[in-house]
Amino acid sequence: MASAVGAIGAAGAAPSESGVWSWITTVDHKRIGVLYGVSAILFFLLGGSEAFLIRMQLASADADLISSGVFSQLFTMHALTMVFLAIMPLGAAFFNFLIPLQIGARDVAFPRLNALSYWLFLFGAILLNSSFVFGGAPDAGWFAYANLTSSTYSPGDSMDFFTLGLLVLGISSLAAALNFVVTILNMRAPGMTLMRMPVFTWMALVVSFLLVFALPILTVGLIELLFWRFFDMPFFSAEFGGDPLLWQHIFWLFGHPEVYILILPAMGIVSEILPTFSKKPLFGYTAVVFAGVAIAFMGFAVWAHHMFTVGLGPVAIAAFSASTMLIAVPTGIKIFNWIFTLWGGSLDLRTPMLFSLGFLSLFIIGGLSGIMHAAPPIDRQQQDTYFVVAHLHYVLFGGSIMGLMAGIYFWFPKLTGRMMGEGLGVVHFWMMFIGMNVTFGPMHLVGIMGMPRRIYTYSEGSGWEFLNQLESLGAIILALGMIIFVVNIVRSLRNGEVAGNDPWDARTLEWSISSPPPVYNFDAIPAVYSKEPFWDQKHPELAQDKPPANAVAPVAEDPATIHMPNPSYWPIIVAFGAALMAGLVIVNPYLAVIGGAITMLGVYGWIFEPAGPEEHH
Amino acid sequence: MANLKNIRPKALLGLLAIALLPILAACSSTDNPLTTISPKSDVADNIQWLYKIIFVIATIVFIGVETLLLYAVIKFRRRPNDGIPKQVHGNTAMEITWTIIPALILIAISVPTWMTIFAIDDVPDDAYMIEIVGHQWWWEATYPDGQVTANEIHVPSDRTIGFNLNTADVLHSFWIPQLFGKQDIIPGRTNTLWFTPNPGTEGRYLGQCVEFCGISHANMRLEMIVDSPADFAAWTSGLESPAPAATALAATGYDLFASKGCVACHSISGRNDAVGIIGPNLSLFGSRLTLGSATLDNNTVNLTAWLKDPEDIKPGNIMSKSAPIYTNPDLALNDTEIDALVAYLQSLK
Repeated sequence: MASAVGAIGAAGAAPSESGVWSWITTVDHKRIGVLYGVSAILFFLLGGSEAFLIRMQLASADADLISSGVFSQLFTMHALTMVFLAIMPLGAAFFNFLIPLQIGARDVAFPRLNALSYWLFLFGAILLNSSFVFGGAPDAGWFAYANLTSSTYSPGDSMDFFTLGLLVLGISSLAAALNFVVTILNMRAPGMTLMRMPVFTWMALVVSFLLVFALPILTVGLIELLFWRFFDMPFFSAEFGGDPLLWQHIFWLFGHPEVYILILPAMGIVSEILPTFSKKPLFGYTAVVFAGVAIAFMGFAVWAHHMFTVGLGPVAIAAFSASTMLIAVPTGIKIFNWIFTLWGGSLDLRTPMLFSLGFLSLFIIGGLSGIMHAAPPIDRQQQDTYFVVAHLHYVLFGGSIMGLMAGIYFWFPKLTGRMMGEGLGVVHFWMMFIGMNVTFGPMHLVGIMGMPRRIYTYSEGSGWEFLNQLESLGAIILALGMIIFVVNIVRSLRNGEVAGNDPWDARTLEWSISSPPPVYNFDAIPAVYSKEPFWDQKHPELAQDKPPANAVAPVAEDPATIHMPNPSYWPIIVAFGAALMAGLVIVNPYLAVIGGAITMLGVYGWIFEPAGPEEHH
Repeated sequence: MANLKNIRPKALLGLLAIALLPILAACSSTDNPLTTISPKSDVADNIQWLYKIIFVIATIVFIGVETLLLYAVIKFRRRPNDGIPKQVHGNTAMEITWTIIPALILIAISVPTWMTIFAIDDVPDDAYMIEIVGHQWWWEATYPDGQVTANEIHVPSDRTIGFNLNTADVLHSFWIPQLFGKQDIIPGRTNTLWFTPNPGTEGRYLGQCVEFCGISHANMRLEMIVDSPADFAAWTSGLESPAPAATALAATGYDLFASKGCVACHSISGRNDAVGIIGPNLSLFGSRLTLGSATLDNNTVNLTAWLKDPEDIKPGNIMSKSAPIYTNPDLALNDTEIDALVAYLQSLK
């Protein structure tokens, strides 16, 4: 992304805009978005490689390419990497880059906190992955069900890397979420009421609230797990009065909202792309927004559908079955509104649109298979089989990843000033779409044939051999598709077609400014009178809500006088101290004081850092 | 996308038929011992009934919605002279329709779902109760009259069978897909399951642990053998009075079983010295069809390989981690000793 770096740097007015130091100290939301995005794509490739190894081991019966122990580490780290280090930060990358641009603001509410969130994420991710080097990665599944995670059944440090790594990542996401909530609620341009916000920003707001409410639940669980392992506090130990099921309740009370944390950003993205490439407004904006909000609320009332087979009793599972099925109603509303956004439009099937349509067609499949195991008796046959693996990958790969890919192709020109290659993009799309279906489609069948999840081997005569071979072939197609994607990014950065401000004839504010945007985003804070201010500005005759007759056009400020926050190195110091503290706990809790001291030093420096040299009151 | 308009409905139906072939294959229990859609009991039939209802509804919705999407994409794709289309912002009547219709469909699904939940929940009072204990990575079964076996669980075909499920260590999940849906096993609580075999379903049924339980989770399988009442009676009485060691080699094995310390962990009915409870009970081992919790056929080659290097077959198992014959090179079994133990174990019929 070197030239993206240069491109954004060059457009800025302030000095010292390039070089490694400027990236370490940056508090610019666009650059932090780039940092999140590049890191997330690298972790996506890592998580994908882990999945690729899993698929190679399972390509044939009785294979011994990978040992059972390493296999357990791979499927655990694959899930943790994809959830916490790829899809969530990719969502954060879009939130960072787009929220201020879409609401007509110059930065997020707390720029240094934003930088802290990123560095905590990076160091937390490194801490989690360093376990591969220091004695073995977590290997009890990403859900880490007690009591397999106790110091009896998981001796060694692997589960401590899990707890402490996720704690650091949790602080990162929580800080970022609070930052986005405050930014969206307080920093919208004049006239942009909540019901005029772009749907992507709406979904960012919903996701941020979900994070604020869901992450503390996981944090409580992780601290209990930590205390159990370090100080023998038996929260999850049946023999000492604890309950292993308590962990499952805590984990899924976080874990189900987490699913919506992963999918809603993609839903926001396609809600921007479908209208743009259909040249029509989103069908039923209000319904789409409220359906997203409803999904978020209901997301907290369905967690026990992950626990239909643990023995909760018929009344409880009947109730959770009903709440789970209910969540299909707002999801269905969204799907039909998206389809009727296309209806009567003029559909331009370029790469962002292809990925959005891919999202739509695949997410439908994931939704319908979800209805099947929302029925607890059926779940008794499907739970923990490959049918569920198929379901969750249609939702998270077919849904989240396809949607995020659509977003990358869509906003890449805004970020870098250059278009991504359309030819390679189309090839990339079809390889992903076909590869995804060849990999995950047969998993429905092999799951119906009873293949359990998380097994490193299976016997000849199981009837699963051919379908597993097919799935592994699909993984190869996906891997090749990802190579094309990376090649496309590199080529487009170097010599992609110059984009201009508005290459897609788009509808929201970010397309009204230059590509890449200047450091201060808007020289004139825009005045907003409708849901699609930029489209209505281009086509005033078609606008539903028109500016009042006495509306005054916003006046541009002189860029030299626009005050932007100064760079700061304190966020990275605080983040380094916190992650070091977490890592040292594993070595020796007393040593953790060193990390704590660095954190305190960083916080001290942060507090007394002057807001800016030209500050004079 | 231009080629899409050339696809004819008949071709799509053909593709659908090809896609459905593997589904039909999944029904065959001979090719797919763990298939979930070849029910052989009342409980499994109940689940299958519900599955068929929801599968049909989901398939109709799938075809309907995807067709609508594909139609919209093809019909409204951009043409060279397209102007700006009409800016439609929504339609309240339509939006209410696609809120209410899915809600009605979901209610239609929920009713049979609830019926099935309650139909398969409580263990009937007259069930023949077997105690199951999950261990890392094998299964133990104790019958009402006190007989104990492991991994190959015989049940009679003429009555309702119930299970009390407990674990010796971590979470497991008990599942024989053709006979009943899975039930997780949680430390500190006793979960239950039950089923009644359908008439004429005597035979072998494969099962597997389906809650991740450590590095040999994949090797924690089991078989349930539905016997005719007469066969079952013969099997249980055989458990109580095993045959004596038949050959000289087996007699050597009998002695080695004690002198090499096997008796510390394994029980064999009829032997007062072999009462260990850490490992699987080996009574009637010679008549079992599989070994290593249903991972290998029970024959001389596999049994020899198992005794030689159990770690290779089932990574992490307690025997290879802690039995002196596997941890202390001085005590390791030589080939003659292994042959004798094989002969002895095979004589337990």
